[in-house]
Amino acid sequence: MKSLSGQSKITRRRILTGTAATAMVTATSRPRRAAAQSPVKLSIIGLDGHPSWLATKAMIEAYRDVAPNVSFELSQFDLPQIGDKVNLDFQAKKGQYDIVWMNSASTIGYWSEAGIVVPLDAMVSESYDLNDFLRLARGISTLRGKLYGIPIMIEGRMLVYRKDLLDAAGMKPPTTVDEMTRAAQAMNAPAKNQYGFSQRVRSGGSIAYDWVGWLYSFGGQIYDAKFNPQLASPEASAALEAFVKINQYSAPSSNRSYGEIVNELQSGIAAMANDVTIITPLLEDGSASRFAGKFGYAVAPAGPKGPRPETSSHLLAISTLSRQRDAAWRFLEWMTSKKNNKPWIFAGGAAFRESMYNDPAIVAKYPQYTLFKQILDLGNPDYVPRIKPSAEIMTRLGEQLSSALVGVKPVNEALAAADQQVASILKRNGYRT
Amino acid sequence: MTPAAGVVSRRGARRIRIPEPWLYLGPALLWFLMFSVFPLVYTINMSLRDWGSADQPFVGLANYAEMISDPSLYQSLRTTAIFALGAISLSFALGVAIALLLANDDLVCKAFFRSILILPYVISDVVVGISFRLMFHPILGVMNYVLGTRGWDWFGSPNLALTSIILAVVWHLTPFFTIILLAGLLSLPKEPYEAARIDGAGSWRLFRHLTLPMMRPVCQVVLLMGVIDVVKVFAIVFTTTDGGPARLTEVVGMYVFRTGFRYYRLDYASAMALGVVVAVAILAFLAMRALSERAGAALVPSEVGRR
Repeated sequence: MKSLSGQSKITRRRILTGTAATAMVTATSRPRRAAAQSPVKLSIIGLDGHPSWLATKAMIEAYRDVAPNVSFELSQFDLPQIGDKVNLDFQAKKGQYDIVWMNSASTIGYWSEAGIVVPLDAMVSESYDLNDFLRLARGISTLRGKLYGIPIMIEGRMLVYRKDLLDAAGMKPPTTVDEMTRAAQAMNAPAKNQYGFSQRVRSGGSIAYDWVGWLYSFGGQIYDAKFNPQLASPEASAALEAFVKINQYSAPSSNRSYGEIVNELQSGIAAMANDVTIITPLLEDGSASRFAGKFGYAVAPAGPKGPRPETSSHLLAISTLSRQRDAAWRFLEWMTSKKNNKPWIFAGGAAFRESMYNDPAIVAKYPQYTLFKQILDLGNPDYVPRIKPSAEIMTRLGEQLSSALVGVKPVNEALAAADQQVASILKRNGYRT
Repeated sequence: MTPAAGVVSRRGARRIRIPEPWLYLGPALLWFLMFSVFPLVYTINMSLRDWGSADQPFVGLANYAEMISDPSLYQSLRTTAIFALGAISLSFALGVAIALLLANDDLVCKAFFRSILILPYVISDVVVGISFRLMFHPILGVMNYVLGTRGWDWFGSPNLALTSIILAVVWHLTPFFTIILLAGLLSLPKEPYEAARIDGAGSWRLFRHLTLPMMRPVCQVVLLMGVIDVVKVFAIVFTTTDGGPARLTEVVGMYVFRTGFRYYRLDYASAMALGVVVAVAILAFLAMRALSERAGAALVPSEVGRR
C-alpha cells in the first residue's frame, strides 16, 4: 500500500497534544521502582511519519516514567523498507528488532506463516480486554485463531465527493455503484479539466487492492475456502466491467495510485473518489487542498451484494527473534490498554477499541468517528488474502486487471489469466494440489 | 627489505613471513573479497536453498529449473531486449551526432556546451524518473502542453509507456555516450583526414571510411557499457510506471526486484539475477568477439588498399 507519510505533518498542535498525552499518562500511571529491575532495551521499527507511529513515540516518552529501566531504540522507515528489513533480519537470524510494524494486508500472512512474529495469546492478561476491540480490529489481528499483533491503525474505504458539484448536478450522494457511475458521468467535464471519478489504476497491487472491494460487493471472491480460485466467475466479470466503465469518467491516467488521487481531489481535477478514510485530513487541509470544506463523505457505495468497504490495518507485533518478548509485550499491553486509550488517541493514534468510539470526549473532538465506525463495522478482515504469497497474488491479479483497463485484453480473458496465475501461485506454495 | 624477507625476532624464532607485495595488495584484495566475492558467493548460496523456510534447506538447482518454465521471466527478458535495443540505438545515434558537432573546430562556445552536456548523466535515476513522470503527466505535465497532445497518457498508455521510458533513458544516457565518443574523436590523428581531403574525399566519405573504422574500438566500449547500463535499469522504470500498464514495461531488473523484495522469494530472485548476469556476460562476450573480428577484417592491408 502507498505510504501514508504524506499526512503526518508535525504541527505545533500535534506536539502539544503529544505532550499533553504524556502528561496525562504519567499522571495516571503508578511509577515502579527502577532499582529492582534490570535494564532492558527494546528495539522498535515503525512507519515513518504515520500518525500512529507519532502516537507510539509520545507513549514511549510516558512509559519512561512507568518503567524507567526500559530504554528504546527506534527505527523508522517506509512500509516496503520495513518489510525488507524485518525479512532480512529474520533470514540472517540477527534479532535486531523486538517490536515490528506489520501491515495486515501484505505481511501478516507471510510473517505469521514464516514464523517471523509470535502469537501473543499466551501473554495477554485478563484485564487487557480483547473483547473491547472492534470486531474488525479483532479479526484483522487474529489469524488461524491466534492473535499476531495489536491493530494500532485501522481504516476502511469511504466515498468522497464534492458537495458543490453534486448539488449542481442535482444529485444526492450515491449509495450504489450504479448511482456512483451516473454521478461520475454527470460531474465529468474534461473541457474544464474536471473529471467525475478517481480510482487506483496503477498496475500491480495498487489496482488490485482497489478492485477487490468491488469484487466482494458484487458477490465474488479471489478463492474459496478450499483455495480454488474464483476469478473466472460472472460476479468477478460484472465487477470488472463496472470498474472499467466508471474509469471512462476519470482523468486520462493509467498510472494513478493513492498519492495521485489525493492530488486530483485537492486540485479539483477529480470530483469524486472511493478511497481510504485516512484521506480526510489531507482534503480538509486548507493549505494543500483548494476545496477544503467542500467535500462530503459517505459509506462506500454498494454493489449487488451490499457495500464491502476495503479495510486495512497496521499492527505492532513481536519478533520471534526478540530475546525480550515479555518486556516487549508489557510495553505493548500498557500502550494499547483501555486505560491509555484517550492519551493514545489524543497523541494522534487511531481508534481500534469500541470504548473509544463511545467516549463522549473523543467523539466530540473527532465527529467523523461516527461515520468511520459505520464503515469499519462493514469491513471484512480477510479483505486481501492473508497467506504467505499474498503480495504475489495481489500483484499478479493487478497486472491482469490493468491489462483489461487499458484494453490489452478483454475483461473475461484478463480474469481467466488471473485465475490461472492465482491457481499456480497457490499450488506452488502448497495450498492446493 | 627484499620482497620475500621475513622478520627474525631477538630470540631467533622466525615470525610469519608476509611477502611485501601482499601488504600492498591486501587492502584492495580485502575490499574485493568483502564487497564482490562474498556477496556473489552469498547469492549463489541463496539460489541453491529454500530461503523462505525457517531452516533454509538445500534444494539444488530447483530455483534454476523454475526459470526455464517461467513465462513472466521470458516476458520481462523480451521487454528488456526491446527496451535495450531502442534505448541504445537512439542514445548511440544521438551521441555520435552530438559528438561530431562538438568536435567541429568551427563551433562557438564549445567549452560551455561540453560542460552542460554532462548534466543529465550526473542526475540520479530516481530524479530522472520522477521529473519525467511530472513532465509527462497527462493533464498537468508540460509535455502535452508544448506538443499540443492534450490528455496523452505517456506512462499509462500501452502504446506509449515503453517508448516514454526509452525517451527518459535516452535523455539520461546520451551525454555519457557523447563524452566517450567525443574523447575518441578528439584523439584521432589528423593526417589521414588531410590526405583524404587532398584526394578529394567529401565529409560523408571521411566519416564512413576514416572516422567510423578508427572509432570502432571506442564504439565497442561505449556500446558494451551502454548494454550493461540498460540491462541493469530499474529506478527509472520503478519511478515512472512500476512495470505497468499490464506488465508492458516490466524489465528484468524490475521482475527480479519484485520477486525478491515484494514476494519475499529471495532464493528464486537470486537464481534469476545470476542467470541474467551469466546470459548478459555471454552475449556481451560473443558480441565483442564478433565486432573485434570484423574490426580485424576491416583493417587487413588488402581491404585498406582497396579503399
